[in-house]
Amino acid sequence: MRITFKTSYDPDINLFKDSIHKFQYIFLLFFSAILPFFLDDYYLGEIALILIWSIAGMGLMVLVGHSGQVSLGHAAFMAVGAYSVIILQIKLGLPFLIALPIAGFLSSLLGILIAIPTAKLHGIYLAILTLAVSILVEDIIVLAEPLTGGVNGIFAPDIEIFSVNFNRYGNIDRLYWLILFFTTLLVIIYKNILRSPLGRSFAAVRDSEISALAIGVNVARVRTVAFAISCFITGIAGAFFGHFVTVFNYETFNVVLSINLLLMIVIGGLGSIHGAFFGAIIVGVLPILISLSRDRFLDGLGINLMNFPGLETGLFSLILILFILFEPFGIYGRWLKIRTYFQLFPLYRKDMFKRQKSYLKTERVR
Amino acid sequence: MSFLELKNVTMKFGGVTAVDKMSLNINKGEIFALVGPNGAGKSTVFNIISRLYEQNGGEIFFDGRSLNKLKAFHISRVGIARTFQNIELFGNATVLQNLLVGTNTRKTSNMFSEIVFTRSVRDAEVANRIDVEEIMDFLNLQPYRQKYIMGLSYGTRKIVELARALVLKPKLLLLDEPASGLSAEETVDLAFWIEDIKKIMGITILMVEHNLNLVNKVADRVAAIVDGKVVRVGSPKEVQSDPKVIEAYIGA
Repeated sequence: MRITFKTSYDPDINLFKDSIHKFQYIFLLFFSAILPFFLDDYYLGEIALILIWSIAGMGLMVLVGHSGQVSLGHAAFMAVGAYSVIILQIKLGLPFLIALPIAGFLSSLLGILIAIPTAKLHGIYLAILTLAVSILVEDIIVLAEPLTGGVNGIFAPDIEIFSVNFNRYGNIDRLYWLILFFTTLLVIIYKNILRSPLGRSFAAVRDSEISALAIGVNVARVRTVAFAISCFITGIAGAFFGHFVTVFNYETFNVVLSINLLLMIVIGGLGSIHGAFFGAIIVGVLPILISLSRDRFLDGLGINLMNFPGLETGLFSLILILFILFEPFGIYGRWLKIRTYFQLFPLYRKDMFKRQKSYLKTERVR
Repeated sequence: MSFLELKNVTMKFGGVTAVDKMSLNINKGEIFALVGPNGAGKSTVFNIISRLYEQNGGEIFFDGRSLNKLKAFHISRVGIARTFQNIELFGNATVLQNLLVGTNTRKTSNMFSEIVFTRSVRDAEVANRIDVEEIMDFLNLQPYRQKYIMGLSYGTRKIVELARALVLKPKLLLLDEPASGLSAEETVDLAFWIEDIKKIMGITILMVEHNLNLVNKVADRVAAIVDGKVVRVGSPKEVQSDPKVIEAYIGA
């Protein structure tokens, strides 16, 4: 186990706790950046999609994992991001780099509009309300046909940044790098929020509103800010998602997507940035694994899984059930345990991560 | 004029009058204890002072200003900090993070500088840590610095909550049953700390406590409260020997 000898408060505050830690993440970024040279377009596209899910997951994580508010309607914010970036590009002719943050802010605006009147709603009530908003947004998209193309959907134009062209089918590698750049940027922003007073007030509001008040945290305001940041990030994810799928309509952003997003961060591990990424990897890799095993393995055995159309959903649900039963802290929680096991080898004790349940407060997710 | 003054404060929950036209004066620099049987309205008084409840009548003055118009999250900025009877810590955070939340009231940075994490935000963070570290040294919390609250014992949590209140640098500290659930040894430590908080930090303390040993040891004045009314105010000895107080505890 590495022990950093601290002589100042800086290691506590820095993004990376020591140089090895820093090197690991820079290596990961470097490795991600050179992927286009090794992978073919299909797999690169899948990884780009995983990054998009990760961004969306981070957006929802701010809300659910860090400020303790449950949303079952985050697909709506993705939809706002996706539609507004493309409408701004087509109708107003704005360049992508300007349209992208505007799309984020529009999505964030919708979030604030929801957060202000619902400042007193918690848990399941907030979830129901966001669900209703998400269904409402779907209808509004259909009704606003001149802008959104209604039920027929909308086509995404190519992205042009300083006359460099980004297109999913023409040059997926460039689109991948663009998404990777913004993912990295958002991770840094997220991390900065977590280590600043804002991030601590999120945790305060999540764990005990009453003492957050007594300690001077303006709970209603913090909850609204959490909504705004969450919806901004989700809107950005939606904008990239729109450009990635290139053609979509209101059905793309239905309730199932919202639920998938929530399941994703629960499987990944609530309350950590890693969790958003792990969850996204599961969501992205699972279909590939299923199709691979179908092609290479099961067909050889003479088993034809084409007869089971709901297989993906079924497996996904099964994984979720297993996680909730055996690892409520998600993949990230499991990863921490495995890492600690090796760091402390052979001194790891079995129940090291077992914590006292304080009247099921954490499970109450509020 | 007294430091904290309650003037005819009344609090009703439906038909139940929890606090009935209560008037109290707490002087600057003293340790004032509220005692009384369960349901007497002691915690309700605390919740009114910290603005978690809006009283039905009467007024509260602190340091010459009325608290009536203030919101709950303003109260720590005025200089009042409190602890809770059933510990209300941030369970999924470390002791250090819990205490650092207390420094939020002094922050000058806005959201956007925090997102970029500018130099001034970093400097403020270092300054906050120095403040927090002093309190941790004072209350012997260093061993638990990076531990999660969920893994701490009840006694330690109580101390962490006291520490978090002190990080706010209050002028008045409200302690809601600080000794409940503590062992005899921990209670002795607590008594020393409470006296030090008064003497060294110059903080006025108002506390609700059932442990009469602790009250006798630290309190300068005591008010006995029965059914939302003040029955007797005086030194711990006087109050405990008052026949009306004894009657309220033991029953007629």
